[in-house]
Amino acid sequence: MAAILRMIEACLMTAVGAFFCVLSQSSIYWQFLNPKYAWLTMTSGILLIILGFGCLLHRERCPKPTEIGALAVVLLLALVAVVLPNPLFGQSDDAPVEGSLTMTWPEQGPARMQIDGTEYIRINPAELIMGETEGWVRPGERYVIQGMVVRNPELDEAGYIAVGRLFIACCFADASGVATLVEVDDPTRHEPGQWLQVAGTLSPLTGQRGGSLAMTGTLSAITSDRLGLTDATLSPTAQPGVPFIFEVRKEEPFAF
Amino acid sequence: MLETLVTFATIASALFIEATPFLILGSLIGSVIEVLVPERTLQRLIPDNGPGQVAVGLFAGMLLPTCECGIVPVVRKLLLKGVPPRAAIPYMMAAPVINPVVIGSTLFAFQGDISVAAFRVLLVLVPAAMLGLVLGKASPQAVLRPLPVSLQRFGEGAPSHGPDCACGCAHVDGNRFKRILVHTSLEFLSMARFLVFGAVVAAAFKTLMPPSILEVLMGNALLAVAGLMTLAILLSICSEADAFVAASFATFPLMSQVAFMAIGPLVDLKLIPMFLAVFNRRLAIALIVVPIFTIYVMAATLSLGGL
Repeated sequence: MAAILRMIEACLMTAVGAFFCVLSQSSIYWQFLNPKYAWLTMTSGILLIILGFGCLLHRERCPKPTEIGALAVVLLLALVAVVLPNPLFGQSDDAPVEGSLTMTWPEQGPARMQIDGTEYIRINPAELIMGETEGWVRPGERYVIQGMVVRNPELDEAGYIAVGRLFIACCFADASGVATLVEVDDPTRHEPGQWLQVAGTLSPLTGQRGGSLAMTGTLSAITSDRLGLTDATLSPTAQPGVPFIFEVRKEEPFAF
Repeated sequence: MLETLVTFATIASALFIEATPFLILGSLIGSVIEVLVPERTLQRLIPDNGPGQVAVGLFAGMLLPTCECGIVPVVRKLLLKGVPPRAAIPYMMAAPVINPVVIGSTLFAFQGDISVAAFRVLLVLVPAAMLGLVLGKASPQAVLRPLPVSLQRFGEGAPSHGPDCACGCAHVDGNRFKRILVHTSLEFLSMARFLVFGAVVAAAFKTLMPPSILEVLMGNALLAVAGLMTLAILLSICSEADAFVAASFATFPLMSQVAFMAIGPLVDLKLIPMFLAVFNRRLAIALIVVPIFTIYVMAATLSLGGL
C-alpha cells in the first residue's frame, strides 16, 4: 500500500512539474504570471519532476494523505483555470501566439500616433504615474492611453472618469490597478468596464476628487494626485489581447 | 458563477506557481544544511551574546534574502543544526522584508519615498527583535514541535529513528546527492500542503470580497490600520509584490498601507499552518500574535500622530 501511495505521489508531483513546464511555454502564461518569470516557472517544473523521482527513493516512507491531496488540488485548480474559458480575456487577434519563453508579442505599433493632425505619445497609465514622479512627463504634453472606464460618485461629480488597467508585477493574484483621470463633459455617458482609447493633454487636475476606484481583478487603483488628461478625444476600442501591464518603461517607445 | 470559479482557480494557481520556486529553494537550502553542514559550524559564526545573536538574525536577510514562502524549512534546519533560536527566529521574521529586493520594490511602488521603506523596515524590526530577545537562551528543542524520536544530536540518548522520522535523517543511505534529493522532496511535500491551503483560502477571499468593504475600512485611522492588516493576512501576497497592492490603497492613511506591507510577510494564511506544524504551540501562537499586536500599536500610534 505504501509503495502504491508513493507511486501516486510521485506521479502527481511529476504532473505538476510537467504542467509548470508546459505553461511556461504556452501562450497563456501571461494570464497567471508576468512573462519575465517564465524561465523561473520552467526551472521549477524541471525541479519538481526531479523531486518526483526523489519521492520514490525513500522506500520506508508512507506518504501522508494531505500531501497527496494538496498535489491533486493543485492539478484540479490548474485544469479549471486552463480549460474553462476566462471571461476576463476576450478573443482578440493581437493575443500572443507563442510561448512565454520565446514569446512573440504582437507588434506594439509606433511610439507616437497622429489623431486629427495632432501627434500624441503612446503610453500606459503606470508609466504616466511614474513619469510624473520622476519628472519626465510634464503638463502640456500630449499622450494617448488605453484602458477600461472606472467611475465613482465623487469623480462623476467632479467631471472625471478614470481609465485604468491592471498592473501585474509578479502574478495575477498581486494585480494592482493603475489609472489616469480624464476630464469629460458627462461621465455618465461612459459605461464602467468599457475599453477606451483616450488622447489628451496632460494638465493639472481640478475640483474635489476622492473615493476608491474599484476595478475588475483588484480592490482599488492608483491614480495621480496632480495630473490628468484634458481636451481629450475618447474612442471606444476593443480590449487588447493582453489587457495587463507587465512593464514600465522610462523612455519611448512606451509599453502602450 | 463561471467567471467567479475561473477567477478563483486562476488566482489560486498563480499564487502556487509564484511561490513554488521559493519553496523549492528553501527546501533545497535546508537539505544542504542538513546533509553538508557539520554540527556546530553555524554556531561558530554567530556571536555568543544575546543582542549580537538577535542583530545577526535581523540583518542576515541582506546577505541571504529569502521569500516567506521558503523560509520556514530553512529556519527549521538551522535550528536543528544548533543555531540559537535568538538568531534563527528574528531571521525568519525579518529576512522576507529586510532585503534589497523587497526594499527596492517598496521604493518603486511608493515612487521613491524613503520614509515608507524605512517605516516598513521599522515595523518589522521591532517585533522580530522583541521575540528574539524574549526567547533568551532557549534551546532549539524548546521551540520546535516535539519530535517522535529522541534528539541524539542534542545528547538526549540513543537514536530511535523511525520511517516517519521528522528529524530529517530520512533513512537514506547513499551518497550526498541522493540524500539531498530525498530531503528536498520530503521537505517540499511537507510544506507544499500549507502553501496550497493558504493559496486556496487567499484566492477565495480575493475573489469573493466586495470592493465596497474598503469604504467601510477607510472610515478612521484605527479601523484603517486594523482593516488593511487583516486584508494582508487574508490575501497572503508575496512580499516582493505587496508594495504595489498597498500603494493602490491610496485613499487610506499612509501608516495603514505600511502596516499592510509589514504584517503580510510575517503572518499570512500560508505561514500560519507552517508555524503550527514546525514550532511548539506557544511559539507558534507568539509568532502570530506578537507581530499583529506590535505592528498595530506602532502603526496606529504613528497614524494618530499625524503620519
